[in-house]
Amino acid sequence: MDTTQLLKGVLDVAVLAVVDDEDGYGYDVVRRLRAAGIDEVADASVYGTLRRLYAAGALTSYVVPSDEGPHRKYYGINAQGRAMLEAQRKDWDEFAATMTRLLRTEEGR
Amino acid sequence: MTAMDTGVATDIAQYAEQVRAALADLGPDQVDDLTDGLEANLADALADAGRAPRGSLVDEFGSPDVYARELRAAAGLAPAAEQRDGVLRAALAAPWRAFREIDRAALARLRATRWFPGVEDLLVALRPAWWVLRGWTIAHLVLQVAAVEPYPAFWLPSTFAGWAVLVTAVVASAQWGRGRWRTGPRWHRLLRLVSAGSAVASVVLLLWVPSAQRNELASLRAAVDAPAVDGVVAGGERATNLFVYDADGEPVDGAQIVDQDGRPVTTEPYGGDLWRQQQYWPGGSDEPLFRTGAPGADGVLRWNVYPLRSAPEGAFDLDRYWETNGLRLRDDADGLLVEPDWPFTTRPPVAVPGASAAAEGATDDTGSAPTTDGTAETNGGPTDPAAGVAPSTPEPVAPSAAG
Repeated sequence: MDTTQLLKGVLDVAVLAVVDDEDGYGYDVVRRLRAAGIDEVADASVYGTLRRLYAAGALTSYVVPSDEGPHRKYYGINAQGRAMLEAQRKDWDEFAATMTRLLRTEEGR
Repeated sequence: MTAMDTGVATDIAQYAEQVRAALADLGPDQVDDLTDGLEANLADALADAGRAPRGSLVDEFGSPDVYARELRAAAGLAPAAEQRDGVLRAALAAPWRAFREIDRAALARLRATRWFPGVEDLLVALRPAWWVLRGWTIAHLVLQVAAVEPYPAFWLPSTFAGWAVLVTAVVASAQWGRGRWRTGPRWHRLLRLVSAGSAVASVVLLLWVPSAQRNELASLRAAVDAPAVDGVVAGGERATNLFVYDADGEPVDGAQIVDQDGRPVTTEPYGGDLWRQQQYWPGGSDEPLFRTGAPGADGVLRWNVYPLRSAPEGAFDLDRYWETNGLRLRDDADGLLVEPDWPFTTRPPVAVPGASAAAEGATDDTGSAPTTDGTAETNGGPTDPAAGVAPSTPEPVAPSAAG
């Protein structure tokens, strides 16, 4: 199954979860998603998602200057983002449970 | 920072510029917003030890176009409108994309070989040399077009303005090469075009500058080495005629002048050769005049007998000229001859130092009389009578219109 297609629907919640865990900058978020096992996501998709969530008011952003090289833009979650994460987590749980039930039934036949 | 790091930084800067260029239709604010920190993210991703390096940035992240598309889609922005610029642009863009694809495929194949990575390392290390060359090339083109520097160009400028342009161009080229200057996508495309143009121009300049200098040096050498042409220089100009006055200040007509070795002194280096001889157009005349020498015993003109007369072409015996290769006046030329204008009727008299002693010591100068071809007989020397072809008395000279 093409998991990239599946991922597109849930990338928002995955990114929110990662940032909720700890503030992070662009590539930092990519790395933590990969470490969590989501390694088929394109870097650019994560950066774009961060931008969109920020524009939607779910994330805060601040710049941290770096001694070596360019500054890094960190993203943190805010109340709206947490609410969004909670709602999506619930949706996912329900959806996942439904899918699991469905697929198990299909297998059982 | 090693050369390799610099190379990677340049690659990243270029890649980031291409991504920005692909997003250009969004407007500058949104592009900045979307690509803020892009270089840092790319550098981090490349530096991440957990990722197996796959070669170029394109191998790692996909083409800048694809990267931009993903960025845009994930940010919830509309995909780039397909080329609205019309048929011409589409027709041009398609082969360009195909070329880029071939270019990329060729590069991938080269990188798979055993020898290319070493060569590529070397080329990347040499990239700063190209930046300097690029700046040098642009400076030279500017200086030559603006005519600030003399033509042909030398390796380095000779004027302060020239140096200023050269230093500016080299610094600009290097800073842009190092990715220190970020420009908008339009400028970026223009600069890339300039860069490609200067790559071609640098080859031309590198071939042209040394060859132009060699040519100039050669022509200078030729001018220096060329034998001096016969003539008399007075007051910085070539004399076209000479006028002799004796010690009493009276004009001497038909004076024969030779140098210390007995060589005839002439103001007409091509005397006797009508096709190379100087023409004169005195005021009011409707045909050119030529200076004419004075006929010797054989009728052939001698060119060291002063003052020279002038005559139109019709005064010369051209039939015999072809036969005997010696220029003569026609028998009926007297009426055509033009008398020279003496600059002074008389000169103040002078005393000749030791005149009486000099007259006694003088040798009869028969051996050095000019031969018919106008050159002096020098091998025998003036004191060797056997070498002389002229009669033992000075050749009689008859300027035809003298009387």
